Amino acid sequence: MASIDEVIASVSANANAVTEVQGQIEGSKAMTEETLGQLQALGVEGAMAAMTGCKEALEECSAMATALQNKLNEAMAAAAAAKQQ
Amino acid sequence: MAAKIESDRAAVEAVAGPINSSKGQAEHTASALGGLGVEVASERMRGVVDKIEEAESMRAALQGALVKAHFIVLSAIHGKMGPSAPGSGGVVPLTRVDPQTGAPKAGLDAIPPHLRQEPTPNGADLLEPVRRKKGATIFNEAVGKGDQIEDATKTFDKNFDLAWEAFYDEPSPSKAQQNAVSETQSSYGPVVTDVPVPKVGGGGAIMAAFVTSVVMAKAVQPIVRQFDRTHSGQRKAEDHGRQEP
Repeated sequence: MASIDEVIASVSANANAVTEVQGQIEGSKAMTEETLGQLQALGVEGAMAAMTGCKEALEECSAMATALQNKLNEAMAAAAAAKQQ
Repeated sequence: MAAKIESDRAAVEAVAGPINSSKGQAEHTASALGGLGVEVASERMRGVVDKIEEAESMRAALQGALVKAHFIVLSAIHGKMGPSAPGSGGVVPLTRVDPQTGAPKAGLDAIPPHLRQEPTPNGADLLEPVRRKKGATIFNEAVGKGDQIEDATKTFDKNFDLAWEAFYDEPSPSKAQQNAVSETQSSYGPVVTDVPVPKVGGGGAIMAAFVTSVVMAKAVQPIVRQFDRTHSGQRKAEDHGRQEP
């Protein structure tokens, strides 16, 4: 069972790494939103459109990171189920 | 901001290694459990492997999405909006979101529809039409054969030197010549070193004997021919001499 424990620990470490990455992406998104607010205040239309696109892309990335973490959690649950067997 | 997104992308890329390592570990465990005969647990571990594989493909898609975000920011910096501008039809969501719950679905669509709906290439344009051999091709082939002959000659020379050393216990004439040249060029006194006797194994000795016999035969052949010619000439002359009187 030691080996299954190792797999679980390894996948758990990966999930933690993904959580960190997601935090970073959220940080980038917050930065984009801030820039977007500033651009709105300045009334720079072209750059605002670009920042909106960037914000959408980062939102997508954040959603993908969530999906990735869910998948890793599923893998962990499956490994735990194999251990119970 | 571009640097921040780039660092995010690098962080996502760095997760690839650990995920692959986990996959390898899970595969190993699954095969070990299978070896022990614990089939149910082994099957579940295979499920874990599949899930980790899916996670890896999702990670790759996430990395691609971050590259896209980076590109958008760079476009904004350079004032070029291009196909990544919202509303241009070029921005395609990579995730499928469940309309009821709003949560991203497990299956990711890494290939955007505008690429997927393109006609499938059949690869015909990659094939080169068959051409007849031209002068240049024939010349190149001939040069190639010349190189082969040169290689064969070098191998023969090496074998000949070995054979000579094995039989006469001294360097072959060509080697002796080389050594003599290097000795005259050197301004230092001769350095005496123990030259090991070339090791020629059983197969090597047979090969050397064969090569030597071929060389000897080739060397002797013109002499024999010359001898025959002169001899037959003498004989003819003698015959003429006998017939004349």
